[in-house]
Amino acid sequence: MKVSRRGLLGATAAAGVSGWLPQLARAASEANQRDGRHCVLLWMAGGPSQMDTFDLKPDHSNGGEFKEIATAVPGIRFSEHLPGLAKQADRLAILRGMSTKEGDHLRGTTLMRTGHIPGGPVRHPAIGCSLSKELEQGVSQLPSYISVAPGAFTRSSLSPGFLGPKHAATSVGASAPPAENQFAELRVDHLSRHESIDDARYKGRLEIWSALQERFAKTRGTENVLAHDTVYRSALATLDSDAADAFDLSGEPDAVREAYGRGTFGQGCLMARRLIERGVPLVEVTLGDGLGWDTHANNFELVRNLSEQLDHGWSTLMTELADRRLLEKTTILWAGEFGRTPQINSNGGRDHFPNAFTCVLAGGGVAQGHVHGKTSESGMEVVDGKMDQQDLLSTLCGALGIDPMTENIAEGGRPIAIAEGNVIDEVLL
Amino acid sequence: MFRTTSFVTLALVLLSVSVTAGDSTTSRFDSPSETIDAALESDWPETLRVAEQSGDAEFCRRVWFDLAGVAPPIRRLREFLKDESTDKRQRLIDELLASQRFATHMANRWNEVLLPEDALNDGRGNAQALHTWLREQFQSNTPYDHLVGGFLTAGGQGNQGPAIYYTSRDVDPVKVAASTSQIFMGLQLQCAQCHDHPDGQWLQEDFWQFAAFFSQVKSADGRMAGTSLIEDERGAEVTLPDTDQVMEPRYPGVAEAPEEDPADFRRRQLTIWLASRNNPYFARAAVNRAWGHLFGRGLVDPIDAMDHDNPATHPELLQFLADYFVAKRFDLRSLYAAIANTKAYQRSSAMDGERADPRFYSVMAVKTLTAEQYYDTLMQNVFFEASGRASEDMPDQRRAAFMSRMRASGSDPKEYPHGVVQALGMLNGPELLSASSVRSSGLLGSLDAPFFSSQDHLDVLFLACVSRFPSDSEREGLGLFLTGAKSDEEKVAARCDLTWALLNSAECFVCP
Repeated sequence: MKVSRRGLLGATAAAGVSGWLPQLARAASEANQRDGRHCVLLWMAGGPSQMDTFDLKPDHSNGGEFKEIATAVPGIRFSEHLPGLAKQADRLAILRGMSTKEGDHLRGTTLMRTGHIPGGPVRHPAIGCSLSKELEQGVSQLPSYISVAPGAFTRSSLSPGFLGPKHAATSVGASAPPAENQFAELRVDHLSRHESIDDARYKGRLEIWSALQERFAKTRGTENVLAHDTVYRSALATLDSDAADAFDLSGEPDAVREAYGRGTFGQGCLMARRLIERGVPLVEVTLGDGLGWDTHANNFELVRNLSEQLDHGWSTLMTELADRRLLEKTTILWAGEFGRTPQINSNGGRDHFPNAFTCVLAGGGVAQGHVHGKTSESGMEVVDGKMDQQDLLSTLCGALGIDPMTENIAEGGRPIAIAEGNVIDEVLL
Repeated sequence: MFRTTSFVTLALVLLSVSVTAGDSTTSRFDSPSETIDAALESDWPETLRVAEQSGDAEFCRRVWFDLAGVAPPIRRLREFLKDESTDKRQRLIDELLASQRFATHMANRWNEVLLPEDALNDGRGNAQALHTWLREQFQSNTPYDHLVGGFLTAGGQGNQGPAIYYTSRDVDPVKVAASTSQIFMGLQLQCAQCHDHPDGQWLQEDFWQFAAFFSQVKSADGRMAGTSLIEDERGAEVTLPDTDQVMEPRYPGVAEAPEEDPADFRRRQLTIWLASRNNPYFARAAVNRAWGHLFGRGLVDPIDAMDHDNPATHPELLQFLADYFVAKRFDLRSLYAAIANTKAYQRSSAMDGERADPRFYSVMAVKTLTAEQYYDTLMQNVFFEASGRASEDMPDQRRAAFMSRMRASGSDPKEYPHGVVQALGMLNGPELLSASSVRSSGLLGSLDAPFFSSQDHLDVLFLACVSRFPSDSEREGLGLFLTGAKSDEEKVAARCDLTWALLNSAECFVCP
């Protein structure tokens, strides 16, 4: 929600005009700096196991079944099931010191995605909403924040909060898990008109609608009426454009689709590349339909399978973006709601563990081939470079060239910064 | 045109008490609507542009949306337009205020005020229980002070509705204190939660002493799974952060300790003070909220930020309304009637060219409808069905789906809160697909009779969607569109297309 700043009522209207100019100038120069910047959020629903992906402890009894492999960066080692990413480790910054206090899925998801625990008086927006609001440039034919196949928990924390529905994410739905040898099918709601309305009728509808709009705005040109018109015309432009084409993966060569992986996540990463090529500032792709990473039992088989999808989708995305010189403008964040217990339970699983886990940054603005933070031998504690969700979100802002202290006005005129943590300069360019 | 009264005269109008003590016939509260208009017009500059008084159709659409939460049904609108009596507006206001729709609409609004957004959509029926409780209060016109008192002190099995106010805030004294001061006193006391308020009005201790009124509140499981109820635990306290200092309860801005409650029931202690004449905030916050409801902006705006650093545009008027509300024993219907019967409320929102500064109230605001107002009107005037909440308490899946896409709780009615995603949902979504299809739309189905002319069709579609008859130019242009179609099938299609265009128009999405 954007409301007039407090005190404006009491102030004289004339004073307002000159006050705007420096603000506009500053906004313009900031916009130039982050011209054409993009962000990809790779969301790992359920809480991914750091012990079996990016922070292995092969010499400790907590280590588990997986072996470590060397990567493109000497000294950095990943799980054997992430070979594609290992080859591109020089594009990643591994944050091994993440630590929060929320071990519940819903609360942890909200915490990691908004920076705040749920339930306070302020409805904090999901980070994707705040960032896409900063990164969007003028009127685009495509939405600014597109979320591919969000699971149930992700969806509830996609909320734009006090920024208002204008900054909500557009969801791309996924069909049921694809049959053998099929690619996952992804679709967008409401992007095409009903088949019963042919071109001639559609044109007639729009002519009437346009005349009604103009007549009404003539005597009631208020902010809400004009905004309604602007928003509708953008939506109509979207329908009219080849925007729908951005969501249509059928034209991609099978070899490319195969390289990303056939599942929802792989095809979602491919869609992310197509959307970024078309200027969409923020794309989110979720891995772990429902709570896929919630591996309380049978951890190793499940993580092996998830790692394979992750490795194909993510590494192919980076390769293809780099080929198009887009990786340098695209910052990627890999995160879930928390990590998993270093100890392996009696079901061969790992449980919720927010105390010490890993997130990864990659691509534009990131000091690549870098590790920040360290956990103890057992993986139970962060011993160096401890950071929380606010530090993570502030650092992501830093990589994107956004000042994390940028304020939006919440309910009741209260200014709220995007994030208030420490920017970890060491992992930024 | 307008007249200019000197500020001094105005102050006299507003502040003079009844001329003869005990003589109720000359009370300053006798003609509140005139007093409000005089207060607003007293500081109008000479050059101010003033809109005309609204026409009957515009007024009817406005007052139905504001008081009943839906557009007027086609038949009611036609009757109102035909009625030639001079007091018909006043009668409509009184009738709507006494209707069940008013109770339902107020419950809709208050549910959104009282609950955080995640609790509104929790799907477990707690929000619905609160809605039912509120609707009963508004239906029986419970005085506002009693309503708030009953709400804040609710507990036990019989009061599961209000319990969600506490449980949706984790029964945390800090969160409950923050929302209580904001909603019922219009104070942003929570800004002092961690440190003193920057302008010095509130100290950190003020917040925590207020929070101490809620230190005893605890939740317990209700009889039904997933429901909760509220109990009080004597002796539970809050302490100032990072200290062991137990905070004694204190009313904000009052230095003395509150009078002892015999049972140490702190919530009751607080509510008695809230509604007392010694409380300078309670009535002011309530009348400012009612004003904001009808005019789209508060006399203090944003309406729940009434602290010292955000003064009212018309301080004397705000005080007059608060005094009136107290004198009327917190009767909400009297308050709403007083405001709705003003010239200001009944002024047109139409103004060619540059609009006058809204703070002068010389032109009515154009308020964006809530998702509920839009949807319930669509059901009533296009599908000819009563929408979920208006009729019963069963959850309505289609309504819930629309709400989850379109709900924008807490948004400012002066703004349009939606983006491209919501617009796409309107253009291509299921609701307007059915609304503009002759098979599913009761409205379009009803037009399929041989004795209607195309002008009749136009009239009905306009009355249903935008509560007015078409203008002359619309009659001409759209009449051609409807008659130009060759086959009967094409004529039906043309009516469907016009309905779709009307339902997607900005006019259909606002209260004029």
